[in-house]
Amino acid sequence: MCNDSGKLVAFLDHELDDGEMAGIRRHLEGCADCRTQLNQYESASTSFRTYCDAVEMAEHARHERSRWTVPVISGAAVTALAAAVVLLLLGHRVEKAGTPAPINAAAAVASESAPALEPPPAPRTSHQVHRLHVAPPVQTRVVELVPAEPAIEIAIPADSVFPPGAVPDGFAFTADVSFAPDGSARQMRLRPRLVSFQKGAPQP
Amino acid sequence: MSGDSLPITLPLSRMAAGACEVTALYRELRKPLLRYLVCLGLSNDEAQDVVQDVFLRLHRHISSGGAQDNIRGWVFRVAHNQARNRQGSYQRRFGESLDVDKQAPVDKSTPERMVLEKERYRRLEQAIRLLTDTERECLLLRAAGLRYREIGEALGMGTSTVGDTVERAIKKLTEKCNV
Repeated sequence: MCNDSGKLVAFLDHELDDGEMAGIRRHLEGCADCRTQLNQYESASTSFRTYCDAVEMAEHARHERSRWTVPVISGAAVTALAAAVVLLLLGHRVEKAGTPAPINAAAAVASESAPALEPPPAPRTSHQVHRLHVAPPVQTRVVELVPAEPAIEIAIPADSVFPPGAVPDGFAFTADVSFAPDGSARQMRLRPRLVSFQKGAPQP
Repeated sequence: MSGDSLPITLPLSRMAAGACEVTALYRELRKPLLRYLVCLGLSNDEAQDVVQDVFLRLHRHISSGGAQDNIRGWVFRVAHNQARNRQGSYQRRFGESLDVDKQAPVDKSTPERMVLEKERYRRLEQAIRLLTDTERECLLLRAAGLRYREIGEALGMGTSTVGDTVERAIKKLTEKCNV
Protein backbone atom coordinates (compact mmCIF):
# COMPACT_ATOMS: atom_id res chain seq x y z
CA MET A 1 0.00 0.00 0.00
CA CYS A 2 1.47 3.36 -1.07
CA ASN A 3 1.57 6.30 1.32
CA ASP A 4 -0.12 8.51 -1.27
CA SER A 5 -3.04 6.14 -1.90
CA GLY A 6 -5.04 7.88 0.83
CA LYS A 7 -4.95 11.14 -1.09
CA LEU A 8 -6.14 9.78 -4.40
CA VAL A 9 -9.79 10.84 -3.96
CA ALA A 10 -8.76 14.33 -2.92
CA PHE A 11 -6.38 14.37 -5.91
CA LEU A 12 -9.28 13.36 -8.15
CA ASP A 13 -11.35 16.24 -6.75
CA HIS A 14 -8.49 18.77 -7.05
CA GLU A 15 -8.70 19.39 -3.32
CA LEU A 16 -4.94 19.25 -2.67
CA ASP A 17 -2.62 22.22 -2.85
CA ASP A 18 -0.35 22.62 -5.85
CA GLY A 19 2.66 20.95 -4.24
CA GLU A 20 0.70 17.86 -3.21
CA MET A 21 -0.96 17.64 -6.61
CA ALA A 22 2.40 17.66 -8.34
CA GLY A 23 3.74 15.03 -5.90
CA ILE A 24 0.81 12.68 -6.55
CA ARG A 25 1.13 13.21 -10.28
CA ARG A 26 4.78 12.16 -10.13
CA HIS A 27 3.92 9.16 -7.98
CA LEU A 28 1.22 7.99 -10.36
CA GLU A 29 3.70 7.92 -13.25
CA GLY A 30 5.65 5.19 -11.49
CA CYS A 31 2.89 3.31 -9.57
CA ALA A 32 0.57 1.10 -11.58
CA ASP A 33 -1.46 0.07 -8.51
CA CYS A 34 -2.33 3.68 -7.65
CA ARG A 35 -3.19 4.39 -11.29
CA THR A 36 -5.59 1.42 -11.27
CA GLN A 37 -7.07 2.55 -7.98
CA LEU A 38 -7.47 6.10 -9.26
CA ASN A 39 -9.28 4.78 -12.35
CA GLN A 40 -11.61 2.77 -10.14
CA TYR A 41 -12.40 5.81 -7.99
CA GLU A 42 -13.02 7.87 -11.09
CA SER A 43 -15.29 5.16 -12.51
CA ALA A 44 -17.26 4.94 -9.24
CA SER A 45 -17.65 8.73 -9.18
CA THR A 46 -18.90 8.75 -12.78
CA SER A 47 -21.32 5.92 -12.04
CA PHE A 48 -22.67 7.78 -9.03
CA ARG A 49 -23.23 10.95 -11.10
CA THR A 50 -24.94 8.90 -13.82
CA TYR A 51 -27.14 7.32 -11.18
CA CYS A 52 -28.10 10.79 -9.88
CA ASP A 53 -29.01 11.81 -13.43
CA ALA A 54 -31.12 8.67 -13.83
CA VAL A 55 -32.97 9.36 -10.55
CA GLU A 56 -33.64 12.92 -11.65
CA MET A 57 -34.86 11.78 -15.08
CA ALA A 58 -37.09 9.12 -13.52
CA GLU A 59 -38.67 11.70 -11.21
CA HIS A 60 -39.08 14.10 -14.12
CA ALA A 61 -40.78 11.38 -16.19
CA ARG A 62 -43.06 10.49 -13.25
CA HIS A 63 -43.95 14.17 -12.88
CA GLU A 64 -44.76 14.48 -16.60
CA ARG A 65 -46.92 11.36 -16.49
CA SER A 66 -48.88 12.59 -13.50
CA ARG A 67 -49.25 16.02 -15.11
CA TRP A 68 -50.89 14.48 -18.18
CA THR A 69 -52.73 11.68 -16.40
CA VAL A 70 -54.93 13.97 -14.29
CA PRO A 71 -56.31 15.99 -17.25
CA VAL A 72 -56.82 12.84 -19.33
CA ILE A 73 -58.70 11.10 -16.52
CA SER A 74 -60.72 14.25 -15.83
CA GLY A 75 -61.51 14.61 -19.54
CA ALA A 76 -62.59 10.99 -19.75
CA ALA A 77 -64.78 11.42 -16.67
CA VAL A 78 -66.42 14.55 -18.11
CA THR A 79 -66.96 12.81 -21.46
CA ALA A 80 -68.49 9.78 -19.74
CA LEU A 81 -70.75 12.06 -17.70
CA ALA A 82 -71.84 13.94 -20.82
CA ALA A 83 -72.48 10.65 -22.64
CA ALA A 84 -74.53 9.40 -19.70
CA VAL A 85 -76.64 12.58 -19.70
CA VAL A 86 -77.21 12.32 -23.48
CA LEU A 87 -78.17 8.65 -23.18
CA LEU A 88 -80.53 9.47 -20.33
CA LEU A 89 -82.25 12.18 -22.39
CA LEU A 90 -82.47 9.92 -25.45
CA GLY A 91 -83.89 7.12 -23.34
CA HIS A 92 -86.53 9.50 -21.98
CA ARG A 93 -87.56 10.49 -25.53
CA VAL A 94 -87.75 6.87 -26.63
CA GLU A 95 -89.99 6.18 -23.67
CA LYS A 96 -92.28 9.07 -24.71
CA ALA A 97 -92.43 7.77 -28.28
CA GLY A 98 -93.36 4.37 -26.92
CA THR A 99 -96.48 5.60 -25.05
CA PRO A 100 -99.75 4.20 -26.44
CA ALA A 101 -101.08 6.73 -28.95
CA PRO A 102 -104.77 7.12 -29.90
CA ILE A 103 -105.75 4.93 -32.80
CA ASN A 104 -106.11 7.10 -35.86
CA ALA A 105 -109.04 5.60 -37.72
CA ALA A 106 -109.00 8.30 -40.37
CA ALA A 107 -106.67 6.36 -42.56
CA ALA A 108 -108.75 3.24 -42.18
CA VAL A 109 -111.99 5.07 -43.00
CA ALA A 110 -110.41 6.80 -45.96
CA SER A 111 -108.99 3.62 -47.38
CA GLU A 112 -112.33 1.86 -47.17
CA SER A 113 -114.93 4.38 -48.33
CA ALA A 114 -114.58 8.11 -48.01
CA PRO A 115 -112.12 10.21 -49.99
CA ALA A 116 -108.98 10.83 -48.08
CA LEU A 117 -109.17 13.83 -45.82
CA GLU A 118 -105.62 13.43 -44.61
CA PRO A 119 -103.55 11.58 -47.15
CA PRO A 120 -100.49 9.80 -45.91
CA PRO A 121 -97.67 12.32 -45.66
CA ALA A 122 -95.58 12.54 -48.79
CA PRO A 123 -91.84 12.35 -48.45
CA ARG A 124 -90.77 15.82 -47.45
CA THR A 125 -88.47 17.89 -49.57
CA SER A 126 -87.28 21.34 -48.82
CA HIS A 127 -89.79 23.13 -51.10
CA GLN A 128 -92.74 21.08 -49.87
CA VAL A 129 -92.53 22.15 -46.26
CA HIS A 130 -95.28 24.61 -45.30
CA ARG A 131 -95.20 25.72 -41.73
CA LEU A 132 -98.24 27.56 -40.40
CA HIS A 133 -96.73 28.27 -37.04
CA VAL A 134 -93.87 27.33 -34.88
CA ALA A 135 -94.33 23.93 -33.37
CA PRO A 136 -95.23 24.10 -29.70
CA PRO A 137 -92.55 22.90 -27.28
CA VAL A 138 -92.71 19.24 -26.42
CA GLN A 139 -94.30 18.76 -23.06
CA THR A 140 -92.64 16.12 -21.01
CA ARG A 141 -94.97 13.71 -19.33
CA VAL A 142 -94.35 11.12 -16.72
CA VAL A 143 -94.76 7.75 -18.33
CA GLU A 144 -97.42 5.71 -16.60
CA LEU A 145 -96.92 2.01 -16.35
CA VAL A 146 -100.70 1.42 -16.43
CA PRO A 147 -101.80 1.57 -20.10
CA ALA A 148 -104.11 4.46 -21.02
CA GLU A 149 -107.77 3.87 -21.78
CA PRO A 150 -108.22 2.70 -25.37
CA ALA A 151 -109.50 5.44 -27.67
CA ILE A 152 -110.46 5.54 -31.33
CA GLU A 153 -110.06 8.64 -33.43
CA ILE A 154 -112.39 8.94 -36.44
CA ALA A 155 -112.16 11.70 -39.04
CA ILE A 156 -115.59 12.73 -40.36
CA PRO A 157 -116.10 15.09 -43.34
CA ALA A 158 -117.95 18.24 -42.18
CA ASP A 159 -120.40 18.07 -45.12
CA SER A 160 -121.70 14.73 -43.87
CA VAL A 161 -122.67 16.18 -40.46
CA PHE A 162 -123.62 19.81 -41.08
CA PRO A 163 -125.78 21.27 -43.84
CA PRO A 164 -123.90 22.52 -46.89
CA GLY A 165 -122.39 25.93 -46.33
CA ALA A 166 -122.61 25.77 -42.55
CA VAL A 167 -118.94 24.95 -42.23
CA PRO A 168 -116.28 26.84 -44.22
CA ASP A 169 -114.32 24.95 -46.84
CA GLY A 170 -111.29 23.12 -45.64
CA PHE A 171 -112.72 22.27 -42.23
CA ALA A 172 -113.24 18.74 -41.03
CA PHE A 173 -114.02 17.28 -37.66
CA THR A 174 -112.29 14.55 -35.75
CA ALA A 175 -114.25 12.53 -33.29
CA ASP A 176 -112.44 11.09 -30.31
CA VAL A 177 -114.46 8.10 -29.20
CA SER A 178 -113.75 6.06 -26.13
CA PHE A 179 -115.44 2.76 -25.50
CA ALA A 180 -116.55 1.01 -22.37
CA PRO A 181 -115.33 -2.58 -21.74
CA ASP A 182 -118.68 -3.91 -22.97
CA GLY A 183 -118.10 -2.30 -26.40
CA SER A 184 -120.54 0.61 -26.08
CA ALA A 185 -119.38 4.14 -26.87
CA ARG A 186 -118.68 5.94 -23.66
CA GLN A 187 -117.65 9.35 -24.87
CA MET A 188 -117.31 11.15 -28.19
CA ARG A 189 -115.72 14.52 -28.72
CA LEU A 190 -115.57 16.47 -32.01
CA ARG A 191 -112.49 18.49 -32.81
CA PRO A 192 -112.46 20.87 -35.83
CA ARG A 193 -109.44 20.71 -38.13
CA LEU A 194 -108.09 22.72 -41.01
CA VAL A 195 -107.52 19.88 -43.44
CA SER A 196 -106.88 21.87 -46.61
CA PHE A 197 -103.70 23.45 -45.18
CA GLN A 198 -102.48 20.17 -43.85
CA LYS A 199 -102.66 18.46 -47.15
CA GLY A 200 -99.73 20.55 -48.24
CA ALA A 201 -99.66 19.33 -51.79
CA PRO A 202 -99.26 22.17 -54.31
CA GLN A 203 -102.36 22.72 -56.39
CA PRO A 204 -101.84 22.33 -60.11
CA MET B 1 -25.69 63.95 -4.14
CA SER B 2 -27.60 65.51 -1.30
CA GLY B 3 -27.27 64.16 2.16
CA ASP B 4 -30.90 63.08 2.63
CA SER B 5 -30.99 60.99 -0.58
CA LEU B 6 -28.21 58.74 0.63
CA PRO B 7 -30.27 56.37 2.81
CA ILE B 8 -32.65 55.69 -0.06
CA THR B 9 -30.09 55.39 -2.84
CA LEU B 10 -27.75 53.02 -1.09
CA PRO B 11 -30.22 50.20 -0.38
CA LEU B 12 -31.64 50.51 -3.90
CA SER B 13 -28.24 50.24 -5.56
CA ARG B 14 -27.35 47.41 -3.22
CA MET B 15 -30.61 45.66 -4.06
CA ALA B 16 -29.98 46.02 -7.81
CA ALA B 17 -26.48 44.59 -7.47
CA GLY B 18 -27.87 41.81 -5.27
CA ALA B 19 -30.50 40.98 -7.87
CA CYS B 20 -27.79 40.53 -10.52
CA GLU B 21 -25.84 38.22 -8.23
CA VAL B 22 -28.93 36.20 -7.39
CA THR B 23 -29.77 35.88 -11.08
CA ALA B 24 -26.28 34.67 -11.90
CA LEU B 25 -26.35 32.18 -9.02
CA TYR B 26 -29.81 31.02 -10.04
CA ARG B 27 -28.59 30.25 -13.54
CA GLU B 28 -25.59 28.41 -12.21
CA LEU B 29 -27.12 26.48 -9.33
CA ARG B 30 -30.74 25.83 -10.22
CA LYS B 31 -30.19 22.55 -12.05
CA PRO B 32 -27.70 20.99 -9.61
CA LEU B 33 -29.88 22.13 -6.73
CA LEU B 34 -32.97 20.51 -8.25
CA ARG B 35 -31.07 17.30 -8.84
CA TYR B 36 -29.72 17.31 -5.29
CA LEU B 37 -33.20 17.79 -3.83
CA VAL B 38 -34.75 15.10 -6.02
CA CYS B 39 -31.95 12.72 -5.05
CA LEU B 40 -32.67 13.51 -1.39
CA GLY B 41 -36.16 12.12 -2.00
CA LEU B 42 -38.24 15.20 -2.81
CA SER B 43 -40.72 15.11 -5.66
CA ASN B 44 -40.24 17.36 -8.65
CA ASP B 45 -42.89 19.81 -7.39
CA GLU B 46 -41.46 19.88 -3.89
CA ALA B 47 -37.96 20.45 -5.26
CA GLN B 48 -39.20 23.36 -7.39
CA ASP B 49 -40.86 24.90 -4.35
CA VAL B 50 -37.71 24.56 -2.28
CA VAL B 51 -35.55 26.08 -5.02
CA GLN B 52 -37.86 29.09 -5.26
CA ASP B 53 -37.83 29.55 -1.53
CA VAL B 54 -34.04 29.20 -1.38
CA PHE B 55 -33.45 31.90 -3.99
CA LEU B 56 -35.97 34.19 -2.32
CA ARG B 57 -34.03 33.81 0.91
CA LEU B 58 -30.79 34.32 -0.99
CA HIS B 59 -32.12 37.58 -2.39
CA ARG B 60 -33.04 38.76 1.11
CA HIS B 61 -29.69 37.57 2.43
CA ILE B 62 -27.68 39.47 -0.16
CA SER B 63 -29.94 42.55 -0.02
CA SER B 64 -29.49 42.76 3.72
CA GLY B 65 -25.72 42.62 3.30
CA GLY B 66 -25.24 39.03 4.46
CA ALA B 67 -21.91 37.21 4.16
CA GLN B 68 -21.09 35.95 0.67
CA ASP B 69 -17.75 34.26 1.13
CA ASN B 70 -19.21 30.75 0.76
CA ILE B 71 -22.46 31.54 -0.96
CA ARG B 72 -22.79 28.23 -2.85
CA GLY B 73 -22.44 26.33 0.40
CA TRP B 74 -24.99 28.71 1.96
CA VAL B 75 -27.49 28.00 -0.84
CA PHE B 76 -27.15 24.23 -0.48
CA ARG B 77 -27.34 24.45 3.32
CA VAL B 78 -30.67 26.31 3.13
CA ALA B 79 -31.94 23.81 0.54
CA HIS B 80 -30.77 20.90 2.68
CA ASN B 81 -32.57 22.27 5.75
CA GLN B 82 -35.74 22.90 3.74
CA ALA B 83 -35.62 19.31 2.48
CA ARG B 84 -35.16 18.06 6.05
CA ASN B 85 -38.25 20.04 7.08
CA ARG B 86 -40.24 17.99 4.59
CA GLN B 87 -39.65 14.88 6.64
CA GLY B 88 -42.06 12.66 4.74
CA SER B 89 -40.16 13.06 1.51
CA TYR B 90 -36.74 13.20 3.11
CA GLN B 91 -37.21 9.79 4.69
CA ARG B 92 -37.33 8.13 1.26
CA ARG B 93 -33.86 6.78 0.85
CA PHE B 94 -31.76 7.58 -2.17
CA GLY B 95 -30.99 4.34 -3.96
CA GLU B 96 -34.45 2.88 -3.60
CA SER B 97 -36.33 5.09 -5.99
CA LEU B 98 -35.02 3.85 -9.33
CA ASP B 99 -36.46 0.95 -11.30
CA VAL B 100 -33.33 -0.26 -13.03
CA ASP B 101 -35.17 -2.34 -15.62
CA LYS B 102 -37.18 0.64 -16.83
CA GLN B 103 -35.41 3.83 -15.84
CA ALA B 104 -31.66 3.25 -15.83
CA PRO B 105 -29.98 4.74 -18.90
CA VAL B 106 -28.33 1.53 -20.02
CA ASP B 107 -26.48 0.88 -23.25
CA LYS B 108 -28.83 -1.26 -25.34
CA SER B 109 -26.58 -1.72 -28.34
CA THR B 110 -26.22 -5.46 -27.63
CA PRO B 111 -28.17 -7.72 -25.28
CA GLU B 112 -24.99 -8.68 -23.40
CA ARG B 113 -24.04 -5.04 -22.90
CA MET B 114 -27.54 -4.24 -21.66
CA VAL B 115 -27.49 -7.08 -19.12
CA LEU B 116 -24.05 -6.06 -17.87
CA GLU B 117 -25.07 -2.42 -17.48
CA LYS B 118 -28.24 -3.34 -15.61
CA GLU B 119 -26.23 -5.56 -13.31
CA ARG B 120 -23.79 -2.69 -12.71
CA TYR B 121 -26.68 -0.38 -11.77
CA ARG B 122 -28.11 -2.96 -9.39
CA ARG B 123 -24.79 -3.32 -7.62
CA LEU B 124 -24.41 0.44 -7.47
CA GLU B 125 -27.86 0.74 -5.91
CA GLN B 126 -27.01 -1.86 -3.31
CA ALA B 127 -23.77 -0.04 -2.54
CA ILE B 128 -25.55 3.32 -2.21
CA ARG B 129 -27.96 1.77 0.30
CA LEU B 130 -25.00 0.74 2.44
CA LEU B 131 -23.72 4.33 2.70
CA THR B 132 -24.48 6.35 5.81
CA ASP B 133 -26.68 9.44 5.44
CA THR B 134 -23.66 11.74 5.79
CA GLU B 135 -21.64 9.80 3.22
CA ARG B 136 -24.53 9.82 0.79
CA GLU B 137 -25.16 13.53 1.20
CA CYS B 138 -21.46 14.31 0.83
CA LEU B 139 -21.39 12.37 -2.45
CA LEU B 140 -24.57 14.06 -3.66
CA LEU B 141 -23.14 17.51 -2.99
CA ARG B 142 -19.86 16.48 -4.59
CA ALA B 143 -21.82 15.30 -7.65
CA ALA B 144 -23.50 18.72 -7.71
CA GLY B 145 -20.05 20.25 -8.21
CA LEU B 146 -19.41 21.60 -4.71
CA ARG B 147 -15.93 21.79 -3.24
CA TYR B 148 -15.16 20.20 0.12
CA ARG B 149 -15.32 23.59 1.84
CA GLU B 150 -18.77 24.23 0.39
CA ILE B 151 -19.97 20.75 1.33
CA GLY B 152 -18.76 21.43 4.86
CA GLU B 153 -20.75 24.69 4.95
CA ALA B 154 -23.87 22.93 3.64
CA LEU B 155 -23.71 20.03 6.08
CA GLY B 156 -22.11 21.81 9.01
CA MET B 157 -18.88 19.79 8.91
CA GLY B 158 -15.19 20.63 8.78
CA THR B 159 -13.44 20.52 5.42
CA SER B 160 -11.06 17.73 6.46
CA THR B 161 -14.00 15.68 7.77
CA VAL B 162 -15.69 16.11 4.41
CA GLY B 163 -12.52 14.88 2.67
CA ASP B 164 -12.39 11.79 4.87
CA THR B 165 -16.10 11.10 4.43
CA VAL B 166 -15.95 11.43 0.65
CA GLU B 167 -12.93 9.16 0.46
CA ARG B 168 -14.57 6.53 2.67
CA ALA B 169 -17.78 6.68 0.59
CA ILE B 170 -15.95 6.36 -2.72
CA LYS B 171 -13.95 3.41 -1.42
CA LYS B 172 -17.17 1.72 -0.28
CA LEU B 173 -18.73 2.21 -3.68
CA THR B 174 -15.63 0.88 -5.42
CA GLU B 175 -15.47 -2.20 -3.21
CA LYS B 176 -19.14 -3.05 -3.31
CA CYS B 177 -19.57 -2.39 -6.99
CA ASN B 178 -16.26 -4.03 -7.85
CA VAL B 179 -16.06 -1.39 -10.57
